[in-house]
Amino acid sequence: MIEWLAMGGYGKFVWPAYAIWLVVIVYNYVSAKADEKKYKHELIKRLRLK
Amino acid sequence: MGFALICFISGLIGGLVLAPADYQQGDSFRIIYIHVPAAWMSLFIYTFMAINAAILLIWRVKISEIIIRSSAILGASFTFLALATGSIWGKPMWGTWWVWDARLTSELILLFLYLGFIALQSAFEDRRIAAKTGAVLVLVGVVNIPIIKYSVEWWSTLHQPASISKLDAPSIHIDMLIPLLLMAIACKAYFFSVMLIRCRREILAYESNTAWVKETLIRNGDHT
Amino acid sequence: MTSLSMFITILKCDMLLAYRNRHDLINPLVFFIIVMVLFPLALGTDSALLQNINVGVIWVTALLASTLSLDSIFRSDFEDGTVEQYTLANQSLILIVLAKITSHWLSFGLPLIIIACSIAAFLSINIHVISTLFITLLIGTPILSLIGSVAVALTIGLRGGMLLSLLILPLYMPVLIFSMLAVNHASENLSVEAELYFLTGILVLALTLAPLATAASLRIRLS
Repeated sequence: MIEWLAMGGYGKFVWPAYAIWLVVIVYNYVSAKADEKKYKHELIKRLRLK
Repeated sequence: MGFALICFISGLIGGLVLAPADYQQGDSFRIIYIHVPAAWMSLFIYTFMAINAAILLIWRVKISEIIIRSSAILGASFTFLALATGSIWGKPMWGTWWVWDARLTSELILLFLYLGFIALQSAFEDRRIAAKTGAVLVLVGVVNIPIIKYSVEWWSTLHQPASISKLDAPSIHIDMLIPLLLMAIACKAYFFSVMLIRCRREILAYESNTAWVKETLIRNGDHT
Repeated sequence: MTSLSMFITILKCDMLLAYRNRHDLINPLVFFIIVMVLFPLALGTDSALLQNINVGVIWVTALLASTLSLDSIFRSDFEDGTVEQYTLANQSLILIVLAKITSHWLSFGLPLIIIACSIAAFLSINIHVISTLFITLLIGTPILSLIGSVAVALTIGLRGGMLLSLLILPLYMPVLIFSMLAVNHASENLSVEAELYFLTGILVLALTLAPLATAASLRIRLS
């Protein structure tokens, strides 16, 4: 396990690369979802007020 | 999204655990599984946007407007990822974070094109005009990309010959190739699912005054 | 009115306007000279270093000056509604746009070429290099005006010239690359034909497509 994490000495390059990748991928998905949800709530509020 | 997740996980396991280490680069080559799909996606999304831009300008299909607007940020993200992972990969391979290599430079210019598009989008109040001007910009960019690519390649071969040949793997082992392809498919599925989520939100914004939006929202609003 | 006479009329009108507003015309050129002066001030008077970079500096400055000057192509016409009249005119909008671009190049590109080459001579650059610089500028500056006109049409009426430069500069890069390759080859006494062919190719491509794209974006902006 530790050996695998070390990546033959390249662990300090491989894992940050994967970390950045994961952050961007997850962020894009979550922000798209959140944005949609927020906008829906906004719309509902606006329609009820009318 | 479920499909993308399955492909991601199997691709990552295949890439990080099962695939053998590269005989030249050791385990550092494993960055390839995120770097290369991201680079492919950056080009794929731009082409996809250009096709939709053409559809929008020729046939005035409204959904294309929404697709272009929803794709740009994802394209920029993948381009950024390709650059960031490429430079992290470059550190152990070349010894520096950045070299003025042809592919890196043209990828950087592609990022500028994406950022220009996003900046243009946010400058307009009216979404429809924003989308149409954006479409023209994307088409101008797509004509330019081959020229940029070619000129940059020419420029870098003259300035610093073949320092990147290490990255050119002409034949790739099958155990390395399968996870790579899985990751590429996963990225595509991911792109389409996130783009469609963004499209949904945009469509709601476009149609916020119509009856069907009201009905759908009230119906959904009841049981959430 | 035939298409050709329309083209000439607009060109004449614009040249006259440019001549009457001479101070506007001179601004980008003064900017050009000022930036040229900044480099020795920043980098010191080490003449070997300056000798190596000064042609590159001239070209980069030309790009920046062109982004600043482009704003004026359609600005006043857009504000007073002339652009709207152009789209309604019984003439090809593409041709009108081409006339506007030509007049921009005549009032900006041409003086810039002269100034750049005289600065180059002043910096005691080898005459062979200067002639190559002259040719690359002669082919390159029309490309700048053409590509720039598309971006200007897209961003017209929006605040901020920053957006314009953000859109234009990535598209300018191939021109810069080929021009500088040609100039560098000239300074090493190598053949520059290939780069000049490429520049000319880009010019032809821009000449055919840019007016089209500009006309299309003007129509979009007015819709």
